[in-house]
Amino acid sequence: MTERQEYRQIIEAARQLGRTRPDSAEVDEAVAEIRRRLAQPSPSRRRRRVFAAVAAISAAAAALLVAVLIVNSSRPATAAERLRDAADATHAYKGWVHIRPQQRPASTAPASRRSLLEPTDVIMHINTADGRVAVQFKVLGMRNVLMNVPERQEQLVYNSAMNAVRIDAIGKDVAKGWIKAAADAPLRLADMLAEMKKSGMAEPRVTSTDDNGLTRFELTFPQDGRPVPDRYREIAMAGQTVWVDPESKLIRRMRTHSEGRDLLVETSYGAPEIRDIYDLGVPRDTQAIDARADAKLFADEDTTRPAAREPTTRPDPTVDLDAVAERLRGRIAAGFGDHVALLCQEDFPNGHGTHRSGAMTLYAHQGKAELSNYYLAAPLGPIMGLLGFPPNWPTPSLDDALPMLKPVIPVHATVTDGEHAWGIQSYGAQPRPMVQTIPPAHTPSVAEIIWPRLPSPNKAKGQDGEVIYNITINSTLEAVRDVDRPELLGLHTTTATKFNWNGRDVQQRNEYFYWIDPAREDMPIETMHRFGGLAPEDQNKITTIRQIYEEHTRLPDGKWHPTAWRELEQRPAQAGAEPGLRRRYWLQILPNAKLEAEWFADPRQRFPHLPETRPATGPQTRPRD
Amino acid sequence: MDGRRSHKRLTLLLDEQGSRLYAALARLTPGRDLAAELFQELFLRLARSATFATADDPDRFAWRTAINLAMEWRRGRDRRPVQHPENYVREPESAEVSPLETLIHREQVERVLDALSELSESMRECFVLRLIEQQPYEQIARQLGKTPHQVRGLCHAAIRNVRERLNANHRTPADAKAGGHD
Repeated sequence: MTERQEYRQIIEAARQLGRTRPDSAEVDEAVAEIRRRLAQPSPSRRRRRVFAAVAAISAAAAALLVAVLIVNSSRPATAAERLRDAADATHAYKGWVHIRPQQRPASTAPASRRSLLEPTDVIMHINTADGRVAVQFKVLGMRNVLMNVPERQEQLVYNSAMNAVRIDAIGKDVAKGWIKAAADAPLRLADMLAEMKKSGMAEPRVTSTDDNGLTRFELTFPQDGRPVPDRYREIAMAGQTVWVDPESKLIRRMRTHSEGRDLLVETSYGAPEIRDIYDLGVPRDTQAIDARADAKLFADEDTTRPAAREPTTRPDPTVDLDAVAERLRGRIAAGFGDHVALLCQEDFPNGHGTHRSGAMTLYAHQGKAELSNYYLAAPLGPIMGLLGFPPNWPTPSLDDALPMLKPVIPVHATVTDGEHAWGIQSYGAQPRPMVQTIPPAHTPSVAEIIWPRLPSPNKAKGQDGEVIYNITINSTLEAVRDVDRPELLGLHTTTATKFNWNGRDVQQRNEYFYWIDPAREDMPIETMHRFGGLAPEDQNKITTIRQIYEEHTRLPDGKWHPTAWRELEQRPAQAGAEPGLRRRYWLQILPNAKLEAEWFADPRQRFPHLPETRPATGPQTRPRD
Repeated sequence: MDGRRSHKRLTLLLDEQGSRLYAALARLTPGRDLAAELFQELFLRLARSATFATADDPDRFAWRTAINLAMEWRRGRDRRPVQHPENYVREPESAEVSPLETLIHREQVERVLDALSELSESMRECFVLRLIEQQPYEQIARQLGKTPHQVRGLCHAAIRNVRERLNANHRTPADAKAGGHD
């Protein structure tokens, strides 16, 4: 995405946010509450009034109370009252609640946007007493089971294709949140009815009948012109049906309407008691992967301080920087021949594996055809229609990954068949992928994420169409050595930008250290990027991003590449500073692996409804040979 | 005397700006309950503030306090993804919006707002008042005691800084390698 596009995206996000409106009833209530508090007299006057009023109202209140009791004791509960009792009883239930949603397409629903990744056979289990939650579902024929155990601060995830149970740690606060959420769930009919009333909606008309041993309540909402909040509009139009067990007063079934589809939810209580994930049908001999150690990997990294280890460097003027820059450019240009590469990355916020999210980049080079496709992914993604982590994450095989990637539109991509090229970008505050035909030009390659592109200190010539980088004013490039790692070569670059802002000189600086191993084809060992202001008052705002390459491998043809590295962001201590970003990468390069021709074709062949944006007007460069 | 004056100002502020202030808090924070809580906190702070009681421009003081409140909350909270989408301020809905798009949009908005919380007060105010609250430059300038040109400049600087922070947090490996040489 260009800089201009990024600016537009931020502005559009802000404008979209500005166009949202809270419910007017909600606003009125908030304002009214403040007004009530402002109108309250001072405490001393308030006490006198209370005492004076007590005597006056007590007699009347007592009489009224007696009258109400007499009337209520002899009047049968209305359907609405019985439904409210059932809603309250369900909300108060403590124990296992088992929920089976069944979503059916409505006859008037538009053509389904259901993707191959939509979960099916969903069953949820919630323990409203201790916060344990388990979800079972299927995606692409694979069975998945997720279970959270707040008491042990654990999340367990099982996938049938992976045939393993992964155990991640969840933070204490997250665990508490799960307990609270479970206690507030499920079937928040009571809350929903209360919210509807608060929002000014007309109370629903409730009728009841017997239905095969259950009491069936029909809720219909009068269309009397009163405003209806958007989130309740479908329910208000279609109504709602609730089936209640007359003995226990617990809700057993509910029919509602959402996103143009009927949703039927069956609920049961108590048995089966779920002690662990294996009680949900996960084979007991399944391999258990304890990923809680991953959290410890990052727990030691204190990212609120500047980088703990600064290499002790000394310049090495004997290094021919032109030759090094040329050598690195050559490695990038040579690449890895015909290959397919898969880069998986996962974020580890706060050092925990909860709310896992990541991405996958698929690279391919086949003759003149190339592609670079970037996808967002999360293990719980299929529940929300997103891409999940494929089996054997984070090093899935192509057989694991491709079936999941194929039906999904990348967030951004560059594709060429050698003669034509297309780009996919996601635009707007609600990013929507759009495709455009672009001039055949450079396609990002896996080699570019391995070796840095350096400016040539002295050479300014290049071939036609080649993008070259020159040293400019305020930029430096030097070779350095680390006294602790003498086998490595360090490339140290800085760029400084100075501009005047409101009469004040502002200087921004970018600094890079690339530590490479010349004995292994200049493999990256560590990269450090530091940026921030140069002014004295900005010294505590400098951010450092480090990439530490932990594993490398050698391909059959002798070429090296890194296979695993981690990325840390470190900021100086500031009030309210957040821990830095933590991310891990895993790279697989598969020489001579091939993708089907359709991967390199116009993306609209696989995604006919992909909208098109205006043709690119970028620089005309010749295709790579 | 200050107590009565403050009370009068609060009442006037509530009448004239209450709805807009609440809506702004609801936009800057991801939950209805939170917006209500911060709204009450806002008026509590204003009620206790001697500066508010004597300010030449109490509206400006109130807006600044409201924005700062929301940003304080953002900086201090645990940045988990929003747990309950149904608590989010109602957004203009479209039948074309998929759950993925809604999720990405909400995350994007959250990231922009988180990045915003790290900017200077002036940049933050200009960004919120101009781009989110859609106030004209001239009005913002009057509120902040600056020229419209200065406000434009602060808005541009705010957007640039937000972009840099977003890029620092969400770079693809290719972006990381490209660094400052593109």
